[in-house]
Parts: sequence; C-alpha cells; structure tokens
Amino acid sequence: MMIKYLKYVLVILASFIVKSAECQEKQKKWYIPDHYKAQYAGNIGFVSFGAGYLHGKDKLETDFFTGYVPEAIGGDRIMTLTLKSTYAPWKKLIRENLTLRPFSVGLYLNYSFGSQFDTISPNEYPEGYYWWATSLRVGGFIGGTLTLNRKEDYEIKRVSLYYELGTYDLIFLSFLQNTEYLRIWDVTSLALGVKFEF
Amino acid sequence: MKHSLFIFVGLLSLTSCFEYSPNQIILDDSEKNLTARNIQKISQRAPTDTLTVAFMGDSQRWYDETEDFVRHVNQFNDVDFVLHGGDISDFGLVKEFRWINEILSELKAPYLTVVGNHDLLANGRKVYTEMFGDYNYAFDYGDFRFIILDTNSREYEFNGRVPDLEWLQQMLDENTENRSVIVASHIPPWDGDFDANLQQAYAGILANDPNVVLSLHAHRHSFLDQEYYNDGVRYFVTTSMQKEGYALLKFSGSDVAIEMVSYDD
Repeated sequence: MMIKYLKYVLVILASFIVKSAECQEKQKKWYIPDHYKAQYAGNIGFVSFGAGYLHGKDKLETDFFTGYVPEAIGGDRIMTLTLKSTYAPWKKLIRENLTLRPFSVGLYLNYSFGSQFDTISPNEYPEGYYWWATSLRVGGFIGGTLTLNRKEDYEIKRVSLYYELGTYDLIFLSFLQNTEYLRIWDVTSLALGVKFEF
Repeated sequence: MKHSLFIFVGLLSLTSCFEYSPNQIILDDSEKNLTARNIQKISQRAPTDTLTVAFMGDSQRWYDETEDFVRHVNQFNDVDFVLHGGDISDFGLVKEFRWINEILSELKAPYLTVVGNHDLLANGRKVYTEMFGDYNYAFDYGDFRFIILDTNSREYEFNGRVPDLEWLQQMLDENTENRSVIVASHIPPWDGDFDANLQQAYAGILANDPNVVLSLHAHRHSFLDQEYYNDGVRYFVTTSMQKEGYALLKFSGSDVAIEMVSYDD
C-alpha cells in the first residue's frame, strides 16, 4: 500500500518538475511552485510531500502537503492534507555555498481524511457539544534550515535540510492546564525535511 | 565505529520524539489489553468480607487533578480496585490515554475502565479497544459480579443498539450463583445522551433482577445518590477529576455503603 502510494506521489511530483522545467524555458507561470518538500513526521504524516511558494521578501514560505501514515507504522492508515506557512526572518551565508536560516517559526492547518473524523458537528449533537473538529488540527513550530547552494545552471539549484519542533492545539491546551504533570517536551515533537529548488 | 554507535543510539532515542499524527495508535506492549490483565491482577487478590472499590470518572484533560486523586486513594490499603467511570480522554487521542494510564499505573490497586463518550471520538474507539479491550465486559470477584456497559448512545446516533440490553440481560442470566450485581456505565439512563427509547427498558431489567444492588455512572461531573426510578435500584453518579472528588464503595453481601470523597485542598 505504502509503495503504491509513494509511486503515485512520485509520478505527480515528477510531472510537476517536468512541467516547471518546461515553463522555466519560456517564462515561469505564477502557479508553478518555487520549491518541493518531503517531510518525515511532524504530525502531518509519517511521510508527507509538498509544493510551495516563496514570498514576503523571500522570508515567507507557504506550502501545501499531502501526508500518509501506513497502518503498519501508525496503527491506522491515515491520509492528510496540510497548509503550512513558515517565516524565516534571518539568513546568513556561512560558507561560499551554504546558507543558514537559524530560526524559523510557522503555523499549519492539518486535515485528516476518514469517517471517524468530523469537521462539522453531526446532526445528533446539540450545538457546541464538542467545541473542536476532530478532522482539523492547528499546529505551530519553530525550526531552522541549512541550504546548499549549487550552481545556477544545475537542474536542482538549491537543496535544504530543515527541522521543526512543533506542538498542536489540543495537546498544547492540555499542557497549559497541567503544568505539574506535563512538561513542554511531553507536548512537543520533531520533524525533519528536505527542500528542493529548481 | 564508536561514533556510529553513538549516532545509532542517538537516533534511536530520537524516534520517540517523532509523531506521525495526533490520531496514530502506537502503544507499548505494556499498554495493551489492560482490562484482561487488570482483571487477572484483581482475581489474584484474596477477597475479604467487604469489597472496597474507589469509583472515579471523567479524567479528561485534568491530569494534575488525577495525579492528586492517585495520591489520595493510595492512602488506603483496603481498596480492591479502582473503577474509572469513563471519559478517560478528552479528545480521543492516544497521547491522552497513555498519560492517564501512566498516572493510574501509580495506584496501589489495579484499575478498570468504563468507556465514555469522549473516548469514542476520532480514533479513540480503536485506541480504547487496543489499550483496554471490549466496551462491554463482565467479571466475577468474590461474591460479586461486575457488568460494564457502553451507554454512550449519542455516539452511535441513537441507533437503538447502544446500550446492548440483550447482552446485559444475558450477563444477568449467567449469574446462576446469585452474586450481588453492580452494573457500571458512563451515561446514566435519564441523561439526554442515553437512548431515550431504552431508558425504561434498562431500568426495568435492573429492577427485575433481585441480585442487582447498584447502577454506577459518571458523565455529569457531580455526585448523585438516589433510588432514581423508585423501583428498589440504587443509582450512584460520581463526580469528575476536575471537581476533585471520587467515591469509596464498600460492599458486603447485599449491603452497599457509599462515601463521597473530596480531595480538594
């Protein structure tokens, strides 16, 4: 199942890349993503693949991810969609070809597919019975990025590695209300990712 | 070589820092099948003339208060087991179930659970089943039979099959040795979240069995001790962890003594 899914994602990703290469020869269309990402963990999937745009004076990235948790790893097969924004205000050239963004901060909105997850409270519940949507999670994170700058005539011009330390709404609320039992690391988890720029 | 070993150990310790989804169901082996394992532990105790059960409920997201509960109840050496009346979690997330299990594992006595409506949210159904077991179960201990029932009718869109009254009747019929029976469920029958079409039938089944001594509930976050339907069956509702209260139930023969305890300091 996992392999099959990965295959689909790679085909879609590859078609994007071919398309973007084609377009760059003429002029880049506005909707062609600036970069592509693959991420491990971070509560949006065991693996997730994304495409996104760079804006806000090159300090803000907005990405759209699709994530997957295989049953063998996560105890249930979960597919998700995520909209994520990352703001990295500072960058420093630490070597000729290495750029460090030491600090980034971001927010995401994650949607999980499945009949067990509700977005709008079903009819049988009185209004406000449950105050949150089980399908939607809002999370936040801090992180950092290291970028390898390759020659401009290379197909892949930059490759970056990033990490994120994140938490999300329901579990962070639990932390705020239980400062004796819970520590911040009880509600924080790590994500690792790679970004490609063409 | 040495370095790669360090890196390997480092990476291994990091794996617990990675989470794939709030709705993932990843449990340690020690966190699975807890109902059967804890019944086994209870059955290894020698029943005395008086059975003592600490009955609490609705821990939801009140971990600090649940820890205080454990400290309080651990003062007593005569508690045979602790019964959680449901709403173990608030959001049905595996993290919450694991935290509560970690806290309740500090109890000197084994604990058992009733499934609550919040435990059936998101992937909570699967988490509860994997961690504890069936929603409906029964066991005998000494002169007593405990029947644990899922009464979270609203979570099943009032489909007429929850609570499973046929199963309840069957568990009562199986009680051929006439043990005193305690039926425990999360939602009391008069609550709007209990299937209104089954309310009278539930009360009738209990009233028609002379062995039934008590119907236990939680969900309402306040105490209530009443012969609710004036039919000889005593109904008791425990309060929530947020309210920092629980009950000590003492059974001997068909006598039931209930002490409402507050551990708010």
